[in-house]
Amino acid sequence: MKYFKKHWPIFIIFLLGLIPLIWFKDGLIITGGDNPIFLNPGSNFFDNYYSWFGKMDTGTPNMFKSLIFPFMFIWFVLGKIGLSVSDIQKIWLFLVTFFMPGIFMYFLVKEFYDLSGKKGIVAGFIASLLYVFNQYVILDILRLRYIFTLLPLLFLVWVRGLKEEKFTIKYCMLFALISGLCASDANNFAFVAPIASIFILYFVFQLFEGKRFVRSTLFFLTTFTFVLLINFWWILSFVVNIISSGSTIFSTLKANAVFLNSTKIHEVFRFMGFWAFREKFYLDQVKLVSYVPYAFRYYQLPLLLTTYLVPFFAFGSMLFVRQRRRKIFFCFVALLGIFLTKGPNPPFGFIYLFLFNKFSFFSAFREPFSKFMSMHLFAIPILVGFFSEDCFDYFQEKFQKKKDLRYYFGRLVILFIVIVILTDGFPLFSGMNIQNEKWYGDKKASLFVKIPDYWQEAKDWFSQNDSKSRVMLSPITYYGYGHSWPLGIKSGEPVARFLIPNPIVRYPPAIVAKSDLLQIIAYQRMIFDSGTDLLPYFDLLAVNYVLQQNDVFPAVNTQVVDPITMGNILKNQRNLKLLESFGKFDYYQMKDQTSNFVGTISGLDIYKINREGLLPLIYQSKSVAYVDAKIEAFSDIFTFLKYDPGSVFIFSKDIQPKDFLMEDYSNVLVSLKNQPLQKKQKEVAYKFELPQAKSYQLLINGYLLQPEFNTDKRKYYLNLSGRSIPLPDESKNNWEQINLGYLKSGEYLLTTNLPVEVIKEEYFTSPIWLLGEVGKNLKKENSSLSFTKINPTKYKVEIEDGKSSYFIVLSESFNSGWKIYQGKEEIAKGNHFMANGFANGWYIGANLLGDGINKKEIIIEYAPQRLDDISMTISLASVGILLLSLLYILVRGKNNKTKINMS
Amino acid sequence: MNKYSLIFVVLVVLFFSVVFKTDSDLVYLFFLLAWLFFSKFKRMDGRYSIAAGLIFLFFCPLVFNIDSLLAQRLACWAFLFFVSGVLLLVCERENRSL
Repeated sequence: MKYFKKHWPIFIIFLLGLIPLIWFKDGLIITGGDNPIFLNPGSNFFDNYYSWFGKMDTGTPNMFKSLIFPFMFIWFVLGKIGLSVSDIQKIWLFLVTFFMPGIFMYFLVKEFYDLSGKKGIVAGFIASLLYVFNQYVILDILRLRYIFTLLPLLFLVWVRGLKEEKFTIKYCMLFALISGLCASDANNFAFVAPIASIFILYFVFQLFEGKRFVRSTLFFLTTFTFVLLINFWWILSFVVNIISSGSTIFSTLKANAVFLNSTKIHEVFRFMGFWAFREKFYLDQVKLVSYVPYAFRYYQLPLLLTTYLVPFFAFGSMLFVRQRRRKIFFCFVALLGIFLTKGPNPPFGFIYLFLFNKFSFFSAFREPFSKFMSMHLFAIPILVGFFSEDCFDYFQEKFQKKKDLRYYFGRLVILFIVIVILTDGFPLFSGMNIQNEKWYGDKKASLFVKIPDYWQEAKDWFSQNDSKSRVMLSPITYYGYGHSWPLGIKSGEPVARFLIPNPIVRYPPAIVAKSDLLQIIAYQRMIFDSGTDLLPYFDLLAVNYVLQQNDVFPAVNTQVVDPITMGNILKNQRNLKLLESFGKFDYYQMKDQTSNFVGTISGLDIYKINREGLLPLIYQSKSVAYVDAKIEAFSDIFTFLKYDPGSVFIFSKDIQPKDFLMEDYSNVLVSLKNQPLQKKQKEVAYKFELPQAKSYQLLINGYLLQPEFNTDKRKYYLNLSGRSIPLPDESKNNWEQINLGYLKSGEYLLTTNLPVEVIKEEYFTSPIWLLGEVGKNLKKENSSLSFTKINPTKYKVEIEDGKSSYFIVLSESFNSGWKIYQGKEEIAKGNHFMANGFANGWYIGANLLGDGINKKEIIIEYAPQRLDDISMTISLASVGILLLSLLYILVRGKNNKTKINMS
Repeated sequence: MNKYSLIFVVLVVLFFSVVFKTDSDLVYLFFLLAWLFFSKFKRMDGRYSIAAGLIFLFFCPLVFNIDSLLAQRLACWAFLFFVSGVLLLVCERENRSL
């Protein structure tokens, strides 16, 4: 009790920390937008644990491994205990966003004065208040902010460690252990780097200030080593991923740097400048609404004035002489933060631009507001705290002889500062900061979410029947799509990612990876050519189920078809069978801006793909089809080539064909789509190469032979290396087929006056194909394959190995990290290639697995997981050793103190 | 004397911001260096620079809705004066410790 009397701000911080509880409405979750993860953060815990993230699409190296601890782990454990997602979110917001950062900031500032005395209570209280009630917190309450929460505590330990008269490793260990609790934020390097720089700056500041060069450097290096060891479990995979794909990531980020200039310095001073804060957008392409409806209040009195009072107080603290040394440091950090947050805007914006253009890693800071704000968000509250304490002392001294004035004046000033801070943070008190149904006058855009029961039923069904197979989502989902749930939801990612246990395939996001192209083709065929047999795409993508989400809002502009039409498309697929339906859902159709009731349909439908024998995730094939084109050509290929389950395709534009691939092409497909060699008087020429001698057919796209393109009624002709080939003038078929007979391998020249220019480069179809076929049976002979998925990075495969060579395909995105092991030895080392334009293929030579026709066991493994396992062991061992050592030091210190007191 | 110098510089910069409407980094750099030299030469306390910055910051909300570009320029000047204030205070500490 005495303790709380002395540290009364703790009680107020606790009470204010309870504010999030007033936002929650019975049992609802706050989620959606860019944070659909809050539908159930614990659900992806195991998927994110491994170095290969197989949950989405056809898998990628896991760049977000650090999310698992503490973020996902805490939600996972609390969920297992039986707490609802809503309850965990309440605890999380109370502790992580309000109470803990407030308390830690209070003790940090108190430390600068005197932790045990009365000095610094006001400063600590004001600093903690501003640290949790500010624009940054208001704008994005759901943001991961463990480092923001623990930053004052880390800094307190850092300050103490550097201050020590004699070097001990106590604070080094403590710092490292706390840093381990911030790991979840590390997936966002750009967010963490500016915060890390504060520690380095303080270290440099100490070197300039004091005479403790050796001690400080020793402390810095030891702490750095411990931090590295504790966080090794995610740092290693992060570094490996950055080295392997950093340049692609950074160039993509640079190309999408649309918010680089959005933050101006006069806004940064008052913690503002978020790109969307004053912007408007068309809701559902109809209604013009403000992104942030309460934003206008910050441009009117009194908020326009009070928001500027905060930096005024902060820099005003420099006018007082007390704590000058620390004030200089925090002022420097605040100014550096302001300078970087404003990005390339004046003054001296060229410095930011130079860094952005010259250093590729700097493209991670393409939105300076959200990345650098943390620097002055940390420093300014401390400066305002100093200012409050200075003002309080000033009036105490000024009115030394007038007791009443001294009592009231000092307190009034503090009250005024508190009112200013709380006024600036007014949306937090009213709950206005959370996007609700009033924001845009549209309940489906609300962040308050109630998940319908039928999603839980679908989750249970998958968990009980098949939780490992890939599920294709239907209809198309895109960034910002919505579900017609009781309170609606709009999400940046498909909600199924968090609501069903299976890996999912979805329509790719705006930034398309190469491995996403096949999905795009599959979805587009589904929508634009409903008669297409989708089985080849299901097989290549290793999809076993289609989940039709009838509760997704139809949107014509984004190709999201209404559930009735979509249901018909899926029902017409020969190889799809409706297996289960969940829930009842009233479907309304929008017509002329009014919604009309259409009928009651199921909320979710699960379709199963009917296939015989083939296990598409890992399969075996005797030969490959060679395609001289890009992966987009699949769109054409299955319109003229009979699909044979278990086929393997290699695309010459993706890989350099290796010798082992050239041995035995089952088919040769050459697309004539590239820029023609010459173009004169409506004649074009193509030079191409046939890799193997076969009997070939020429396929002319029927689209070219439509009369509307032949405006000058010309007579079409086609010459193949001097040989004239007759052409029809018109065609009603998709492809006009002409037999070319047997052609030798080698270079050929084809000239024609067909209107090939009507098929543009970006179309997923070619004007002309050459198809060489031998009609070979692609299926394996006297061999079979079965596999067990041990985890997303490891598959145990049993093969009945024949005497001849064959191929193995793993339908996960191609990555050189995937390897085949027999026992402990890696096999087929140089035989790894990109199969089907995105997947992993291996050529297994005859008798490679050993002599004899019997079952052989191999392991297909994502090798970087082995490194991850080692790094995890190092980190866990380090945590154990550091914890025990720290405990020992603390107990020994206590005993020594007792001995001294006794003596 | 220092007070008058401060008032003079603030008025000159204000005049410059309102009339010439320039965002040139060269102008900012020239003023920053000139002010730093002048302050060192006159042995002015770094707090004068901080006070000048506070004056510019004070004007920001007043002109925000009238001319947001002017508010931005004033904030730039506030920033520069704060930077020079911090630099001068660091120098003062260095001199004192010597």
